[in-house]
Amino acid sequence: MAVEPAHASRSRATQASLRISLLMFMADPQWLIPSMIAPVVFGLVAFELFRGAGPYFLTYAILGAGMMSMWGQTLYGSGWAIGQDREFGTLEPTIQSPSPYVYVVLGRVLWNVVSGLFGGAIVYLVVVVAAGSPPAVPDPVGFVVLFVFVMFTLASVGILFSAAWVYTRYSGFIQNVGEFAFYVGTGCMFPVVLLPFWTNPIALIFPPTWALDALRYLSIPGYVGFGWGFWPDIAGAVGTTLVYILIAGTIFRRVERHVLAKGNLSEF
Amino acid sequence: MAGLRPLSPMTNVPAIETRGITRVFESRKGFLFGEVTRTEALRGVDLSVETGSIFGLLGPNGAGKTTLVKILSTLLLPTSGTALVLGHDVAKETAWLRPRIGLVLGGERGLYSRVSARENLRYFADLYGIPTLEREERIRAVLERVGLTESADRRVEEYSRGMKQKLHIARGILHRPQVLFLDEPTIGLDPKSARETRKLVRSLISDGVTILLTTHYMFEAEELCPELAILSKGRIVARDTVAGLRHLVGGDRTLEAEAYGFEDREVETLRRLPGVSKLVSEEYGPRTRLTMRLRTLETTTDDVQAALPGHSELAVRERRTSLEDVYLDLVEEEAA
Amino acid sequence: MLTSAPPSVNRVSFWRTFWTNAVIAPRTTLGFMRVDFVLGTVFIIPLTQMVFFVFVVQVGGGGASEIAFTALGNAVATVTYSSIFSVCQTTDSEKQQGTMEHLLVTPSNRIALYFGRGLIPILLSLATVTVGIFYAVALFGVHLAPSSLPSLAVSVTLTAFAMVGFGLLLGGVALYLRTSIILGNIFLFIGLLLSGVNFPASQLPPVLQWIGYGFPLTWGLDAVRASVAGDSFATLTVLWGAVAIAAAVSYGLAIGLWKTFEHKALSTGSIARF
Repeated sequence: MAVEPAHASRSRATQASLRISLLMFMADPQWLIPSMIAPVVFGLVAFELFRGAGPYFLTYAILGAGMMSMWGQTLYGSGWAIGQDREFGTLEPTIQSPSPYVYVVLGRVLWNVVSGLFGGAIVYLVVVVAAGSPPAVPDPVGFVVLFVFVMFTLASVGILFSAAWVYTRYSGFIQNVGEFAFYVGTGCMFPVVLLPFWTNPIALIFPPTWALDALRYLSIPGYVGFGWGFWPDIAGAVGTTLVYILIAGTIFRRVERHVLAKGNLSEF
Repeated sequence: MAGLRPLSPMTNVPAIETRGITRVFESRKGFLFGEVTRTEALRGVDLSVETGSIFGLLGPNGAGKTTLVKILSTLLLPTSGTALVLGHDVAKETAWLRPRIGLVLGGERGLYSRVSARENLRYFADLYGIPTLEREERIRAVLERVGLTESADRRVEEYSRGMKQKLHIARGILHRPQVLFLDEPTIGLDPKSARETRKLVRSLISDGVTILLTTHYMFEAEELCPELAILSKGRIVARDTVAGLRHLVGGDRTLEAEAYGFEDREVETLRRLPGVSKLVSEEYGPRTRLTMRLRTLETTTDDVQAALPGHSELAVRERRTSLEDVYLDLVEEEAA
Repeated sequence: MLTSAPPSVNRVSFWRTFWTNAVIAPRTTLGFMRVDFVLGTVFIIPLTQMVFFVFVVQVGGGGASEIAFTALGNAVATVTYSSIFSVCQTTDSEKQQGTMEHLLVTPSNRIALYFGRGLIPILLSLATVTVGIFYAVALFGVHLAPSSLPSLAVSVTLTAFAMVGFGLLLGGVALYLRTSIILGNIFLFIGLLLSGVNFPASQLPPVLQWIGYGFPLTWGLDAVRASVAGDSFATLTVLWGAVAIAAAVSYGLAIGLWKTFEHKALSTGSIARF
């Protein structure tokens, strides 16, 4: 008699993907080098450039450089993992499995969130060492909690951007081209309000913009930012993150249909 | 046994059924990608494969075998037509189908080369939702079945091609699919590895699973597939049992006569011998070979020799019409 | 049928190998000839990177001169993408596609084989820096006198050559490593910090300055800044000489490293690993 097949679980797909990302990284840990060097460089560059930014320049430097490091790791690392699937030829068997691919991508993104946090920690250490003392943060616990939350807002963007990697093998190039535009547009190194006003609505599309603004409210006394305060920023971050997650679920289904129709899954 | 899942013997729905399947690929090149090239990989394929059977799909390179397999395994959407696997539409019911089908594409890619075979299988076991308590035992059993137990914990990048192929098969059967697609499972393997793989495929048949096997090794198709189809330029040009296909191309007896040239009247004489359904002449350097297909037993090698007096260097032999003869005849006809 | 005389061996000319690799390799490995790739690398990346760092400087309290300094620095620094990254990625691509072994089994002259791959990146680098400098002048207050154009052209050309040479040097190591993009990333970041891109290298501790001047980008940037500033011919000559030496050392080391790591990769079997 026919037996029902095993039921593919979403959480298991995510766990499996997280695990294989970790194993692949450990098998080839040379990527640790740029993962450590990048935050050191960003931290030192930010430290030098923000010297004249007032009494809280250390906090600006840490937040800015930390975000750049994490942004790069989460966004590009996630996309690159999908690109690696294309190169290894494992994209086809993974999509052919019953697990929805978006949950596999989530696992990759979560791994990059973890490595991004590592980068953020390095930035903190580098800037503190360069300055000779840690920044004065009014609410250290809240700062850390919100910092982690920022990572998850980045992850929501990372999942969505990963869809581009499934869609086309040229995504790496697209992400390289857009890298600094994202840094500018999301206010990772400096508040978006300093940019021309027409860029602000574009920036507010991204969940990290809200989260980072909230983080600055929490850690920089007298910070004004968008002007509506800490809790509206949190609400905006949560709301946009949920929207991104919903969109990611839909987009992945459509992207999958598209690549199955186009027949370019095996291209790399 | 880490086997496959037998279906109820009462089921009468074909395991695989396609109606009018076409698949067109478009590629763009040139300045601003203005130049579009359309390639018709499949041009109206009708196929039906009974449950619990092994069916062979032969064809030259570029015939559309892998394209058809990818459509049936939900990795590619058809341009038009319908394809059903286990009675479910491959384009619309992928979620239902994917846990029940297995695909072995083989080759050097398709595996995480920096981790071990065991880790590769663990990953896919999780993606297929194999119960956690059963996972390790299932992995152990399929590794044993394909003969990779000893090297299970070595990195895949250290594997030979044959070992990678076995790992591909292990992954394909890990979740006990009801239908298994094997796309050229022995291509590029040395004779020993190829024989081991065929032995493995034969063992899978006994589990009652439906297998669609593509190959262009004739002896492999003859050995494994009671029924097969020949695909050429995106169309099925013939479909039957091996004996039926032999009959289709003029009989399952073949007589060959070889000498340094034949006169036209001699060729005509041979063509008129009883039972000769087809006669083909081929040049091999200075020698000419006449190949005759026969539907009956009337004409023998003695008759051929008697019809060709005066050739001291004549060589006449009889053999069974091979599947390769069938394949070449049909594919060349389609090309013509 | 055996003949008494051995078959003749085709000799492939150095320049034919060089030209084939110059023209075909970028198309097969990276799609260099794609319009979107060229537009992105030459026109978009320099602008976005420049805008980013200019705003950072503004927030940091920098004035017009600091902004101009940063803009010009980033205009030149983006050459890293079209020089180092593109050469490294060409090597990586060959490995991923499985064509590296087929290249190495040919009798082709190795210098022609490897260095031919640098030709298109040199052209791209020239274009990238030129466009970047245009942005810096047009948008961020960098003042460029017409009389400085000839010396600027020399500085930019030498920098492009030197940076591609550095890319070829890193690409040689890539034969042995799984991937060389890591090296590209490392030197991209190090360049941002140590080459005087966003702030004068003189602000760094001496040991870091010494390290910074080990990279062609640092000398190239000094030469470009001196050209824009209208420095004397004597000053420029010294700087050009330094860039030329950096280029010569890069190309020289690249030859040595390619040969060394090719041998190592063939010994360890890592040539096929990626």
